[in-house]
Amino acid sequence: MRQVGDVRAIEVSGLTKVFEVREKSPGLAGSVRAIVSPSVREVQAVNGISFQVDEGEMLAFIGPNGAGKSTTIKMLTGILYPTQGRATVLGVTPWEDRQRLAGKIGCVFGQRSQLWYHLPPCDTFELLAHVYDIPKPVYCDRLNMLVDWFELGEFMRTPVRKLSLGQRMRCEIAASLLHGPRVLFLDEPTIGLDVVAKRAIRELIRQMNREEGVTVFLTSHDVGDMEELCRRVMIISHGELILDTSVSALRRDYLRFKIVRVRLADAIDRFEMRGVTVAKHKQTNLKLSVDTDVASIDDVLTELMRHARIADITIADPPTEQVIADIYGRGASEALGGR
Amino acid sequence: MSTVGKAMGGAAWEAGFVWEHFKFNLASAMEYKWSFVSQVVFMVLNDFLLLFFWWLIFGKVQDIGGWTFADVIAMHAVLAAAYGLSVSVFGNVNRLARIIAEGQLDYYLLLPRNPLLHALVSRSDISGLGDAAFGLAALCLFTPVTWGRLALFIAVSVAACTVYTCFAVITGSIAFFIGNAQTISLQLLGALITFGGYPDSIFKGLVRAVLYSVVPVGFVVYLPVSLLRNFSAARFSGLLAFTVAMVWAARCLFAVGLRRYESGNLVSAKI
Amino acid sequence: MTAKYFHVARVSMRARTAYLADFLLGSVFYALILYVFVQLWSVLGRTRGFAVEGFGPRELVWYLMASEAIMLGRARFEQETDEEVKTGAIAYYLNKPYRYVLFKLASYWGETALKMALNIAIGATVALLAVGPIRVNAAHLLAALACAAMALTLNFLISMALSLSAFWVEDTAPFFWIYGKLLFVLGGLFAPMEVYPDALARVARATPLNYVLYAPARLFVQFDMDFFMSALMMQAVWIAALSLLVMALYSMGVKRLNVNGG
Repeated sequence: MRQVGDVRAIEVSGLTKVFEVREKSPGLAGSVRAIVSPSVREVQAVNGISFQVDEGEMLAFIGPNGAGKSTTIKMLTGILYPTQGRATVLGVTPWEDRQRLAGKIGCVFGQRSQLWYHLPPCDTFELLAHVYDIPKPVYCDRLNMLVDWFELGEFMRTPVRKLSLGQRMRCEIAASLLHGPRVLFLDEPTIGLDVVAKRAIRELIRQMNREEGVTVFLTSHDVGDMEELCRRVMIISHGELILDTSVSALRRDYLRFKIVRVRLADAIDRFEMRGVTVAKHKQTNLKLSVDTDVASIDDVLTELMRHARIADITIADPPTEQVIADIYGRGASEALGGR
Repeated sequence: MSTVGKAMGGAAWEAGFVWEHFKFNLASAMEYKWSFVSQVVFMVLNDFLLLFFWWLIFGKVQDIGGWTFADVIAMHAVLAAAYGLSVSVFGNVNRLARIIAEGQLDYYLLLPRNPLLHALVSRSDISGLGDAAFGLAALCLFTPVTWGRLALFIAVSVAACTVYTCFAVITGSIAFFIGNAQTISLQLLGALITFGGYPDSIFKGLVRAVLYSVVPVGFVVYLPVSLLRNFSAARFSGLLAFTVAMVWAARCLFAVGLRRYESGNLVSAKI
Repeated sequence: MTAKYFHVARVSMRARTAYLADFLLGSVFYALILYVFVQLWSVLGRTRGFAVEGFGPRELVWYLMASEAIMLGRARFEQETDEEVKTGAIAYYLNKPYRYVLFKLASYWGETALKMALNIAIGATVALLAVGPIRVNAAHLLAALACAAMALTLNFLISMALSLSAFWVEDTAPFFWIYGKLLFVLGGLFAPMEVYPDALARVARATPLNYVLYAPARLFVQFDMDFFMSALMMQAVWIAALSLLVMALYSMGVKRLNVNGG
């Protein structure tokens, strides 16, 4: 039996990637000049990041566009050579032993399909079995299991071009699991999906992690993916890790604001309290943003009840997008402040 | 296992991989039957029509600088067979520059196979089968044919196909270094095909030297034809040696380029 | 009325200039072919038995320069039209204040005029450097250009008729291969009819393809008033006939589109 937790699935230290960007002024003259004496600018996509991931962990790796998410994933999967730094995935240095690593990891890039567009998924699966050199009986067992899990049976023989995006994504993930990878890289696995399909995909990822102990390294724009799937979150901004913490700590530390919506039995003129901002006020309906460091929810309710009877109340966290946008902003300003 | 045995085993493994992909591409193309059949049939017609011009010329003269009609037909047969084999088995051969520049190599880098080989075989240009069929048919119909000559034709065509494929990989790999190299790559490949359609006896001096080096059409067409005309073990070994050298050069250049690969974020589907 | 079509042609020409660098690189092929034929004709010119009345190696090179200028200069719109027909996008042109075919003709001419001008400049330079000038006077040149303009219009109509067949067949690309090859064989792309055996030349002259390449290229190299008049007349006849065919195909196709609901 494999033991979860004794091996580090991913170890990264000081990983750096610098791209050279050739710049060209517009027009034919610019093209000629670019050939004769190209002007090259260096862009630091990833700037010396370090972290570790244990086997069996589910980790969210999030950040705005151009923060270095994809570049990092591409270095960890062996697509890109780093400029500097070290990394091992399951004990293998990705860019040096790419082929060996490829047999142990699975990758799903939400925006890049590995299924053959004009053929049914079963054909792609068959081809992948050859690509990964999976022995026939092992492949058959594995395929049956995945078809069961992912409920692919009904459209295994339908050309991919006729599948819905949700069905396609189920096939994509199943395809990446065919060879029994120990680490799964998921880049935007729910992009473009509707709510129901998103939920189904997340459930599958969770199940797979539970049953097979697969380590999941997930990047997403969708904060829901992170909240529902992962215990741990890393946030990258401008090529640097600005936060590496648990999702619950993220909530605790960064979610001190609560949104309180109340409907009162009688209309009131105004509501004022330290630590409370009134976001909306329409006769009996109020939407308050409460800074729980300054005023507790208790105090706010007591204060409200002094004014009027409460007919209905909901208390919610602000959308996590908001929080993360705050953190990005903070990371950027700290970086500028000469951290 | 001995090193030779290992190398043979590795080659067989890769050959099986190429074969699986070829079958797979064929199945994919057969999804559209009319398109499949018409691509092959029209390409055969297309190639036969190319011979028309030479028929016209050889209606007036006996030879062109020593090349007879049969030689010219052998030339077109080898060129078509080499090119047809290359684009039907290694269908991405002419698009490597774009695949590199647009970051489509990612997919192949994520799989436990040789990414260069994998990228090449992932697509098949079905019309290439028509080219190959034409090559064989033209040789059998218009030139004296024996089993030995047929075997030689197949051997030189496979070598020529390998040289062409490697030349395409080398020109495509320019994309690693300068970014958008699709046009320049296609120009060089086009030049090879263009020159390959005319007897080398009409070219002189520097151009002739270029045809055996920078644009190695000499090894794709002229040398194979000279072997079909009169076989010599020395020239045949020369062809094989050049072929091996091209394979080595293409693999090395691609491997060096891969270190500079920059990936990309283009949305794409496998078609 | 026609002003808007001129505008379409101008826009199409300007769109092309955006890819000027690509286009110039593409003309490397044109120069290459000319170079190969300079070599081929000069070797053949020295070969016994290869004598063509009125055409020495120099004339044959200039002939090819002209015929290839047209062959490679004609704008290729067929793939676009094929797609517009297949996807039903052609339906969007129905409620526009212009006719689809004329719109396409205008944009074809915008692109073709530009490509032709560049091709003539490049081809003439290569031919001049390689084999030297041929005798040609301004009036004859003008006549040859008029014939080339008719030829390119004729090519447009043939290509359009083939493209519109996409209403009925799955893939029109093979038609264009065949058309290209027929231009090569019956159009006289590489060699004038004078090189052809008589019987074949007679067959070729009976087809419109002969008036797409051979007629203008021959007039350019070797002007002859009688030939000019007859060629122009035949071009006019073919243009009229093919216009009718294209109109018929278009209206039949559009009807079909309505039936199938686009």
